[in-house]
Amino acid sequence: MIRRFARKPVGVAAAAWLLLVLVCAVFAPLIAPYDPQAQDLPAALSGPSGSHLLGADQLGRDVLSQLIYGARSALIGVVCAVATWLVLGVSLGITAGYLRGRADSAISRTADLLLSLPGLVVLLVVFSVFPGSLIVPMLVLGGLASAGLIRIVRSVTLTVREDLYVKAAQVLGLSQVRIMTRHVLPRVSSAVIVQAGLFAAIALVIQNGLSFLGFGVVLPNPSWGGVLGEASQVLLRSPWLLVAAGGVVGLTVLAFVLLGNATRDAWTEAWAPSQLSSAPPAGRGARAARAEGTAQAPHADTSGGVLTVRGLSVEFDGPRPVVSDVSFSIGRGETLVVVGETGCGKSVTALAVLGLLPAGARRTAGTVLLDGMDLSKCSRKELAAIRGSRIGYIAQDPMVSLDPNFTVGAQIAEAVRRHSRASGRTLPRKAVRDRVAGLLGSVNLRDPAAVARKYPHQLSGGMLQRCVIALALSGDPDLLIADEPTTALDVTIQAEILALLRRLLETRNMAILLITHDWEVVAQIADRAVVMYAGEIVEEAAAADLLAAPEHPYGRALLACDPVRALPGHRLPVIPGSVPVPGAWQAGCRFAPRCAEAEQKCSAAPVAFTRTAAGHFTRCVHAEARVQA
Amino acid sequence: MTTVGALLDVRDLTVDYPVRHARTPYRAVDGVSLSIAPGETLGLVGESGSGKSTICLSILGLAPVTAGTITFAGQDITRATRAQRRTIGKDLQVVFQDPYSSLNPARTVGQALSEPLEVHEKLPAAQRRDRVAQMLERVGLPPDAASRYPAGFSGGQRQRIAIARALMLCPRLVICDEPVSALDLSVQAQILNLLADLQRDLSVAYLFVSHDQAVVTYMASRIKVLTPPSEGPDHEKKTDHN
Repeated sequence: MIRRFARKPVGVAAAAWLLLVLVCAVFAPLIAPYDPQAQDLPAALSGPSGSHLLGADQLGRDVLSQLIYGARSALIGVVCAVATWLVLGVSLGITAGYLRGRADSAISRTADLLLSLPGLVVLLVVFSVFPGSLIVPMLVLGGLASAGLIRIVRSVTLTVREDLYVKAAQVLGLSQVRIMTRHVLPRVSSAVIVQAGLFAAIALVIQNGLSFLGFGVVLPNPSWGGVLGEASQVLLRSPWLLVAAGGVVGLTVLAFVLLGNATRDAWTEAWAPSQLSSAPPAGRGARAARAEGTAQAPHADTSGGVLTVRGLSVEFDGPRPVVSDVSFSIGRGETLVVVGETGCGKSVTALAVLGLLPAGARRTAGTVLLDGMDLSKCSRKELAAIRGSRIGYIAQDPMVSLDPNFTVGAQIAEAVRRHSRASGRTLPRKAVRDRVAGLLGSVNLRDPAAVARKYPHQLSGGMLQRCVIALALSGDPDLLIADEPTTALDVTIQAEILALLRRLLETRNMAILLITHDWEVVAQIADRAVVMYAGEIVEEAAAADLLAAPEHPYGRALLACDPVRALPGHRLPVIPGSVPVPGAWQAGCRFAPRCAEAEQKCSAAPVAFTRTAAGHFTRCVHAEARVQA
Repeated sequence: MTTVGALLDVRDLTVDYPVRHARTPYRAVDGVSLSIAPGETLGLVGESGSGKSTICLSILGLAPVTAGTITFAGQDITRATRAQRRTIGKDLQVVFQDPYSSLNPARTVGQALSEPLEVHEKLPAAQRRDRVAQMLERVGLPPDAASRYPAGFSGGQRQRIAIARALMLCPRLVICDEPVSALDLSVQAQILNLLADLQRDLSVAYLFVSHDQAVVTYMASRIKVLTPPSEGPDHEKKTDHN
């Protein structure tokens, strides 16, 4: 934690300044050049000079010495306020959020009450009861402000307590106090640390404001607010005084905030998941492989299809390749299924076809042809028109594909109107309604009119996914892209949705690109299938051939570990290790480190596609050798 | 009436959840009975909404039981107090579906695994470290995993950590709530094999919940099929394990 903090220059600078203030406060009598109240009248309002480094005030008192002594009251005040704020805010916030019930209502109502009190008025009353006191008003300030922290901590706790590891801790029989301190507190603390920096700054400003007004530490006792007050009186005669005092207060306020941010970052860096830190940047091997890979000619004849993808490569910033040299084509009335595990680049391939790559990703090579039109040369606006009309898209989770604020019918109607406008017609309302009912009917929804009036939350997952398909069909697309369309659904509903897609394919004369990790889906819907591993296609074949006799060891191993084919009581065949993260690919065959049949030659050079049978291609040196033999 | 010799026996379990602005509560589980013998695996399958997870939560004391009884190792734990739960926690553990939210991101793997030993066995730190190292090896993780945070591990590795945490105290029953549903096929096979190996070595019993019929058929000797409360009775079937 300290080492990580040391790597943040801003945080270190802030900490150094606060440390300086602290040293000044503790050793004020040793450091200050003068007694803060000693008057050197000839030097009054003299500005910086050899004898008074920061000048002197109206009565000739040394400003530097006053500021050094004033650091004491400033720090004591801030520490009292922040400590009260932290203790009350964190303990009550966690208690309310974790225990819920009566404790929660009592604490929340009290916090609401505190928030509704006029803080400044309360502080002025406190000053009249404890005149000249430094500590009591700051304790009260901390207490009043803790209401805000209670609410923040409570809401964070409410989400954390639903995390499964908290449930696991409860199952283990840990005491509630232990769960709150060990498991909830660390998660809350990142928010608290930042807030603490802010509140320390606010407390300092309030304290100075009050002593500027003549409350709290008052003259002749030295305080930052006191110097500021003096400075404001002589602003026109000696503006320097305000620069000196204001500068110190300003720097300290800034330091509190920056220290809070830097501490939070250092604290969370160790464990917070970061997408970019997990993968090393591309090694030289992977880069070399990519360079050679793109030089290869496309393996199959990829012309004449509805969708033709040639040599597609996508990179994330870094630069880290996620998809390299992917080529395939889909004909009318055909379903191509892309199968593979997480992190193999399936979804990125689909998004690249749609021109919807996430931020930070870009296409580095390759073309995407839709009926001969090069999508990679289309403008953003042209692409937007093509999406939804010529290409329909179905995502994994139907719940997030639809807007919860509108009825299903309204959302499909909007799409229908947009497509008719794009083709230069304006449909009357009745025609739109009929078209919506027709679309919902075509996806086998029993009472289309009733479903159209429903909101997404009123429908089951299977019905929702049908509505999403109807939405995707609203522009009469040539190509339907479905990314894991049945993963979120039950098995029986999965079969129904796949049968529906199959029927739509036959009746509408379009093409389907479907992405899945599930062999069952391949078996049920695919005409042809491509297997992806670590960003490249390793095998392409007719679905039946692939399922019956996969040529690539990855496809074989992945099929074998499907429990559908397993014998109970026997160990499942496994693939050791896991899919390498993008960029950590080795030169040569990327599957070789996990492959049971790997030899030295596998890792020597990038492996080309080999045609092993009619329409069956694979990227394996062993297949190469078999074909040549 | 309880099944003789059963480790876990659930009789006519019913769980209602109150629904806001509705007079009748939502019945998540309706009169489910099941029993598990020591060292056995019972599969629990059903579609979403059939109450699989709710059954797990009520066995673990994390969901309120409306009616019925839950007996564990001869002891009625239907409405166990927090103190009773503390002792049950040694013998009854859980592995959840989501390997991401089931580990505290702010604590190292070593801290997560030694917590059960600290609380239940009150072992000194050096012995805890040894036991954690043994367990990490047992579930196939590198020894330096103990000093790392969960964020540095893949989904499959996190699930190994969660399994290790559940087995630290050598429990008699582990509730596996969709333990492989979030994993890729090749990793799923590794985890299923690991669970089977651990069962053979430690003779722990599993209540194995999944929506995937193939996975359950592979893992369990008996399968309980749940249907949503409105759609007819549940049934049980035997698989061809021997």
